[in-house]
Amino acid sequence: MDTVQFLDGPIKIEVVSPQRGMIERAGKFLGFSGWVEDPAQPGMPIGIEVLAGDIPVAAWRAEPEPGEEGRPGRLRFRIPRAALQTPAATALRGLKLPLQLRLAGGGLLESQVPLPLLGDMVDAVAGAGPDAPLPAGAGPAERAPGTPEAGSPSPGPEPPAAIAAFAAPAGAGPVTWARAEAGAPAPAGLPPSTVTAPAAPPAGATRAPTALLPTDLPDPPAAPPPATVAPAMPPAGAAGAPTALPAADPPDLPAALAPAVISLPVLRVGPAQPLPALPASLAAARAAAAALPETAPAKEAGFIEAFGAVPGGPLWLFGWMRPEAGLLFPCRIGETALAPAGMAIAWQSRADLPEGAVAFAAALDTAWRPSGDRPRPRLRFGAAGQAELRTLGTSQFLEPAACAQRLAAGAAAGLQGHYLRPLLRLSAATNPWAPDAPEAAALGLKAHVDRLLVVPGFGALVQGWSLSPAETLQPRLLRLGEEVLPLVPHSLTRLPRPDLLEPAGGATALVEGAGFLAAFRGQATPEALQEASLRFATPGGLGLGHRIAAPQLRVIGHSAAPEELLQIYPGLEHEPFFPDLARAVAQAALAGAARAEPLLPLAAAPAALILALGPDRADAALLLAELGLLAARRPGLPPLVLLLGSGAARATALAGLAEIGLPAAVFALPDAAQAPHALPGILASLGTERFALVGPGAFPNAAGWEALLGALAAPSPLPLALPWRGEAAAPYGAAGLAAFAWRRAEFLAWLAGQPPLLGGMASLAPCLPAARQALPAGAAALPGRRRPAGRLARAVDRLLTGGGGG
Amino acid sequence: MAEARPPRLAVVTHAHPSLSRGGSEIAAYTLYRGLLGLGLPAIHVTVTPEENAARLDLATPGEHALFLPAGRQDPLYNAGTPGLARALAALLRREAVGRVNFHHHLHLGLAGLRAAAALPGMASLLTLHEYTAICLRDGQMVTRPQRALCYAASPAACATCFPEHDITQFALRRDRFLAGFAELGGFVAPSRFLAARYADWGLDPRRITVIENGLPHPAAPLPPRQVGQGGRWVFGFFGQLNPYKGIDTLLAAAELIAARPALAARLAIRLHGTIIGQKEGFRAALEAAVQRYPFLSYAGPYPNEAVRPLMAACDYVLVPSTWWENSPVVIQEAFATGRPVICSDIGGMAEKVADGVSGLHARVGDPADLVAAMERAMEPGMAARLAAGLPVPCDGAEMARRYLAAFEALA
Repeated sequence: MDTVQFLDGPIKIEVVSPQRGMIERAGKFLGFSGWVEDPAQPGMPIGIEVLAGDIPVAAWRAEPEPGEEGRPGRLRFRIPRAALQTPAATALRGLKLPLQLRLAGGGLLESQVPLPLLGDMVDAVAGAGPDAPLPAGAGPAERAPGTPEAGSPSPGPEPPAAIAAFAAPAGAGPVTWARAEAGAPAPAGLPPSTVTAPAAPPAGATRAPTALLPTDLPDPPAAPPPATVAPAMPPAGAAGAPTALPAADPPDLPAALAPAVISLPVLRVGPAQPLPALPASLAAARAAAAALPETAPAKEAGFIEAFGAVPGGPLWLFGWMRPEAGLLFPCRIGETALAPAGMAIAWQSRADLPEGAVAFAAALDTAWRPSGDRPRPRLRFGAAGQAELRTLGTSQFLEPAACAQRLAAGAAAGLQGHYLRPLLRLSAATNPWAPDAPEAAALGLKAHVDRLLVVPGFGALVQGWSLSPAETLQPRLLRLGEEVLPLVPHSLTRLPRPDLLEPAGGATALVEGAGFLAAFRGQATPEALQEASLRFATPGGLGLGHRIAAPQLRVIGHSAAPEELLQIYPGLEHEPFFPDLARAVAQAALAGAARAEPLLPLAAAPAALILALGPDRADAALLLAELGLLAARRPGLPPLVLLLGSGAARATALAGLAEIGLPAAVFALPDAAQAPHALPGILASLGTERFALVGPGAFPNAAGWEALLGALAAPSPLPLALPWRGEAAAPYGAAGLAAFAWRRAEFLAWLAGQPPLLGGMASLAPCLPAARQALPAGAAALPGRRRPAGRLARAVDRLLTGGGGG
Repeated sequence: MAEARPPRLAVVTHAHPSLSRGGSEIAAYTLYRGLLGLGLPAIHVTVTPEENAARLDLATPGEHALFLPAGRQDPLYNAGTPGLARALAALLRREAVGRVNFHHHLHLGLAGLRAAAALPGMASLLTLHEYTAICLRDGQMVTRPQRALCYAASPAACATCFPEHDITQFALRRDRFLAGFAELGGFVAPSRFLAARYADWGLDPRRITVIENGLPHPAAPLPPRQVGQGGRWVFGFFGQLNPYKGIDTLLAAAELIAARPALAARLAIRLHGTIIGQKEGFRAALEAAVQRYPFLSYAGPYPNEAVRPLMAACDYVLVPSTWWENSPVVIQEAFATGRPVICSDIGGMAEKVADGVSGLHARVGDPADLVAAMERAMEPGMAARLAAGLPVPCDGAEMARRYLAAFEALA
């Protein structure tokens, strides 16, 4: 009896596999050769899979040959190098994955010789990208020798060798497989909650696994429920056979499945070889999925009960399936066109499922994302790409939070398998709603956010620190309400934080890089801000969440001025992400200006004297007092239009306007400096065809008022612009935006060519056309309170006007 | 044929004697009463914050009031409000006013001045009180917060005192004052010193006429006291005990005097007035000083009618102000009572009190020099000699005549 260990958690389950074999020779040019046998079916062909790491990349069939000598029932095989030149293998060749052989539906073959790496055996070939989705029903790009042509009669076309490999259970690492006898008892003492019947076998299978348990990393992968069941036990005392443990009846096995349980896959630990982390494995599987065919008709293999995705993270699926392909396998997913994907599952039995099926929670590495109101994805997998998981009418499109909750709840309720813990880690590292990684506290992971500056339309800048004694803990995802913002590439900067020496346990090297600055990209809509949290992760996949307290949160344009961004990134204008940020900040300012709110209506004003008031109350009082004098001295003054920015000027302005007694309209806008960008809507609403605009902080002198009113009375296609008077205003002299009169049509045409500038009228960048009306002698404007554009605003405006970001 | 009566004159001021008794409102009201005393048509217009309305007591039919709505004060530009400007113009038209004399621009603001001055046929004079158009700090030309004397305003210097405002705003402030003043007919300065400061600031000195403030009811000067009867020389302080009036200097001088018992035995210092604008603890410090120094007493506030008898009980009146002053009423009152003045040697004080003629000067802010001046004052014959040199203050009628002359000069 050949017994092996099943290592899936702290408890070992011994089961028996009837198949066995040995690799006797292996090399770059030789390929693989050795023997295999299946005592249960002597003389029958035996399938052999070539694995690269976890991923099957090729398949071979050992056939009995006439006149072959040797032990009865034992088949010699020789897998030539050419058999490994499959698309899947080619896609993975750069990953330096170790090669192994596995009996189809069974365990790994032992080897008498060192095994080569995938890259040693596979030639580089040009081909389609791995993510190119196949049209629904499209066949494989190439076909392995000996497979039937398309349209062959039943049983249908066999997949190419590379694809056929995925028909077998995956998920095995450097382990060997064997099969247990039917009815092999589960180990004694297993708690019902952790020892469950994992799955029913797929259609046509005759046996099902009895127990699979969670593993502790870095244990080797657990086996999936067997897709196929070995018919017989291997010979007792076979070389390399692990110690047998007494089997027991599965305590939680659904009654409907119990009669079908006859064997379990058994893993035997092979030579220690590091396995790639789950994201790498998923990526590899996704790469391999490029060669996965979609054949019709599909064969129902289960259903997707819920699905969801997290930006920057994997796609999560929940449902049930017949696990024909193991725990980690390539697949395709989508609605019409199917995109390649790599999928890893944790599983559990469920009483309501048909025989051979298990409930699963899975993460997928794929380019496909649910979209629209009611996405209905389907998923193809399996050797022939026929096995299909479909969406039900009741399937749920999960929010990211629900993905994390569902996985966590499933884990608490009995999900198991080798990939359970990696999936939990992956969730903790990529889903801001997920619980912290189980190991986070024990490993002393700590993090804090000192300041979060939200930049609507761009994302956010974050300043904080993180401590992790074992490996670097980096901020990865920012959650603002329901939105998840990924880290901007290359934005992360680590800084020394000597003040953290105590929480760092005195580790001076640790505090040298404990501080961080990071930028995150997203819409960051202030209206959607409910709470903020930052998700940290280590390279090993340990995730840690930190909820950001409200006092640390600021929103640019509301609770923080754009210039405050420089406090986090002092050289912000030189950062690679600055152009995107600049456009967002300026666009937000422009959007604010466009939201001019009418406070005091006016039916129509073909000509208007428009006055933009800054926040200074004294300036407002002065301007209104001068308007009052102007109105007294100039009968027939055009209607007044006040643009009220934020600040203390409102009461003064409104009271003064009422006292003047002229027809007037009042609009409120967030920033009076953006008044020109508010004008299109205002002019349209008032039917204004010609206007004079006096900007915030501008005070025309007597000649200046006369010039503006004269231009209003005799409109010209050229603007009339008052220059600033005084040395302090000299830098702004050429812009002409202090106070000007123009016709609406020409103004709008000019404005259409102006970018949204953060500094608005205070910016040095915007400039009225050089062709202007001649000015009367002495006409000028004096500055009151000025709000000169800050360094950041100037940098933004330089960039937006083509002057560069630096 | 009867001589044509002069046009009705309106005296427009920022306060009324029933509200406060500052020098400028007293001067304005004295002028108004002087005009009435001459039988000339005149009205008096008080422009005051509306919260003062209940306390306002208009004594004659020609007195009017306009109210500045709450929250509309504008200390920076003194721009005024369109409403007040229109209301004043309407009042002046309704009252057929042809001459307007503004005392101060506070409350009414430049808009009111300009609106009134722009009325057809209107002749206008602005009487400059303090240095309010030049200096944002209550027109005192004293730096903030150090209280050092300011010798010339500039946008940069003013922005240093008031960093909450932009330097450009101070340039605009000066521009707007000068532009508004350009629309007025002329200016009256109660002192040459103040006129010179405004000329330095940019106002055409040819447009400024110096006219001393008059006193409402000046009586004949009293003879000097006979010190030998009481044995002590009495030095009186009259006015607000605010930080600018030099009360700190005076208390420091008291400390110096206390260190010299023989000197302390020869004199008494009496403080009369209201404590205003002092830091917390000033009253306690003052009371402690009064307790400590037997020669020092604090008599508290006094009604205006009591000034003459209170001053009569003194030998000298002390005016140790640490700001420039313009033409302090207390000096006029001292002269009217026949009492020489010991004052700081700067500004309007030094101009009004001729050193060694009508009083004595002490270095501003120098308590030792103040003590030295007080010792000189006690020298034999000094009081009589100084009393003989006192000028005679003008009354309301004389003040009115001088103003009428200034108006005539505008034509």
